[in-house]
Amino acid sequence: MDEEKKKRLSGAFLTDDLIVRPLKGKKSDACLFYLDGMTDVTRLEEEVIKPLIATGQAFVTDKERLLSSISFSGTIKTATEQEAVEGVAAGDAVLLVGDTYYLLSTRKANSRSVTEPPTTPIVKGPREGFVEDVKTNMTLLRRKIRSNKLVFKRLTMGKITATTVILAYVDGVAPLSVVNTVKERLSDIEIDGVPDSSYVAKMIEKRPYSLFRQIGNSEKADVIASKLLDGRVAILVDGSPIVLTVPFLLIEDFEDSQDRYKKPSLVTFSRLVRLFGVFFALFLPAAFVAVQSHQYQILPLQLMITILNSTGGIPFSPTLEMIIALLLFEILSEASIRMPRHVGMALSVVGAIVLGQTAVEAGFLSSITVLIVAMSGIGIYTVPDQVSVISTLRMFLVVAAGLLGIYGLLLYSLAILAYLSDMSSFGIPYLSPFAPIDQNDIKDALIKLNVSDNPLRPFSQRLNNRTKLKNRRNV
Amino acid sequence: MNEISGKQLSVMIFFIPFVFKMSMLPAYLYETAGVDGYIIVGIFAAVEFIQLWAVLFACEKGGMEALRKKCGDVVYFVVSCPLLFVIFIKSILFVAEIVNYVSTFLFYNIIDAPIVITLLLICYYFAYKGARTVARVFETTIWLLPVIVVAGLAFGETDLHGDCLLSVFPNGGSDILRSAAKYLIYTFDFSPLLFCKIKIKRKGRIGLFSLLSVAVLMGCYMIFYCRYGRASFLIDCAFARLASFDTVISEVGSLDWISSILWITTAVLNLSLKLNAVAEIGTGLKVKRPVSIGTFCVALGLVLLKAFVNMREVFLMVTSGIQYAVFGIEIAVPIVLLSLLAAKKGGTYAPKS
Repeated sequence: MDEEKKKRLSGAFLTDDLIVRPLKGKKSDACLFYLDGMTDVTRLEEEVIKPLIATGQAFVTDKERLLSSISFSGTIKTATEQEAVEGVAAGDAVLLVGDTYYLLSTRKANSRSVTEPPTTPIVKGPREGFVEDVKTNMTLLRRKIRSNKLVFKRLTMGKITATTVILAYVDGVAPLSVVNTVKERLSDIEIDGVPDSSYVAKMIEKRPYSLFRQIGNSEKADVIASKLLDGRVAILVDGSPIVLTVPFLLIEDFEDSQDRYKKPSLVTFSRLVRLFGVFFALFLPAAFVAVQSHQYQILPLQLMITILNSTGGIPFSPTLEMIIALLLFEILSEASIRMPRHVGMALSVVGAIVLGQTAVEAGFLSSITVLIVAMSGIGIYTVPDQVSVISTLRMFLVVAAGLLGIYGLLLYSLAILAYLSDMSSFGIPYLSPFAPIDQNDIKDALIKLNVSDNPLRPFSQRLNNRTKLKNRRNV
Repeated sequence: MNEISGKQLSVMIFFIPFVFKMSMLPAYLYETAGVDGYIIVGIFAAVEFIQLWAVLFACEKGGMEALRKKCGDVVYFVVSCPLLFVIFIKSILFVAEIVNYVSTFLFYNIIDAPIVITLLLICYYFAYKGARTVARVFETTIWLLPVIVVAGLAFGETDLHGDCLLSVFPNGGSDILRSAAKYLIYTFDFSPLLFCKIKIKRKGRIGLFSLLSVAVLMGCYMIFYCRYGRASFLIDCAFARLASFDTVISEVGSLDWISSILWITTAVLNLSLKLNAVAEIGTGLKVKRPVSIGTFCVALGLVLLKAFVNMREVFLMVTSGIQYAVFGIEIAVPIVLLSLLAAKKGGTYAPKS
């Protein structure tokens, strides 16, 4: 065994969890290097070390003879010193025999079991959620798309973390332009570490500072499989259970993972409810401020009297009152997310009592303002992925409405609409199929078609293979 | 940035001639021509669509961009400066209309400055983003139309008097010519399309939407005159006060704010299209886009707020002799453009399909 090589490989790691295990042979020695906890030691012992020692042979440097003396089920390849260092860091084991490094694929898959994803509650449909191990995630997708057309392309990102990133797409369905663009953007990144898929998302988005995301994500295998079949490209990142999809359109946030498994008429109703929920969440506080401050002629007399009675005596202007109420709501919302579960209940009760009752009785806020904020707050959660966006936007809308009433509210809304109309995600207009209007895709946008009535893939993407359903059942 | 599809163009040609003819013009036309106002506006719209076809024909040849590439910067400057003048005058009128609409209908007591400033800021943003963004937002506003129609039909209380439209041509039609000549500034709004790259696949759809626009415009005028009769000349913001929309009060409040949203939105988009044309003229003259739009908006704001005491003075100015110069330039520019493009052979420029 080359002692110099042994010292160099040991010296490359300054960490205490590097295991250097010398193996004594009859005529020569060998040495095993691996990181404690990263390697499947049991497999190493059973398949490599024991057979090697049991044969009683001198350790041979010839790969063929070495392979024949052990019964290792993984891959063995010769490696350079750099590859050996990277392999050990990634969890493989390196066997140094003579002056040759042999890289043994012995990584231990330490990840939690496949369960229902915590971010996506499911009533009906598959409950398999992605986990942190990218190989498990790839397997979950393979089980959904059992075809040689499902392609996985491996990339490594992060100079220090050496994170495995997998590009997944269905060959013949996904547009190659998108695949190549994603590959290019990923390859151009030179960064120290990629601990999560959100890092990748932020680096390949065109507008990273935008409030609106341009890359979709999901924790559910069936959702990602379905999107792959629609021509999208998925990005799996080792260490993250969130899988990214591109291109992404705003209308996708109004779709739920369970929409695929429920009756179309019920799904249509749900989507419209979500749309109204978002509309009310975004505009109700601002419209209330506008009507109170400037355009009270819109209200019928009875309602106006009710509002005046409710808001009489409040020391703040309608705009300030609404902003205070919204801020209190945001603080309560943030605190409840971070609070430990056993304290969360107490906080919810305190928050409800403080905001709902005490603030009103003290004359700090009006009851109608609290009602408006509560209705808006409920509406926000109809589209959970847009909660932060809506919360932020509605604050600015309230300010605009306070300054110039419905006129200010309208102009600000137009500015948001202009911003969204100008946005695109990997070449696809963000507001597609509404702007620009696509007659084919719009049929399945807010209104859900039955699977048999939707035989074509989305037209917004420039796909070569549009047909996903050839023969419909004629009843 | 300035690519417009056939579908988007169809929506735009429906709204562009409609929006600014439905604010103060109905009252003005009634003042000068009585109920024949709907015939005058029909003539305005029909003649405007003749200009549209000339503009579309020019766009097929490459528009102003092709002129600059084929004939050089000097010729481009000579052709675009009068257009700049036309856009400035029209923008003054359009901003004045919007300010009048907003201050009369949406507020009880407000000064013009904040309305003008916020309006120009938003239009600046739209113009900066380009005609493609304007066209896409036009597409989204079309969804408001069925909401308005449904709300009007469900809750509206109409009180129309068809006999108000009788005695067509009471003075032999001379009022028509006089009124048309007095309010020429309200026609020919399609010249900003000369700076856009338009992809037209189905010309039939363009024709259909043109006819629809004329028909709807005339229909709205007729409904307006039937509703208000001899008091029509007193009504400002005609679109906001059209027939049933004025009396749509439900348990949750007045619903005519939907029509206000539609009008203000389309007015802003119309104005933004003009500012986009200014940006393109600036780009052709090697001026950066934000600078050209910003300068134009500042000049517009200053003229409106400092040169005129109120919006009434603006209307008097734009309907004076200056409107004939505007009219003449609007007719001449597409003709000159087509002539120059035809005269300058060698190298075709076609918008990407």
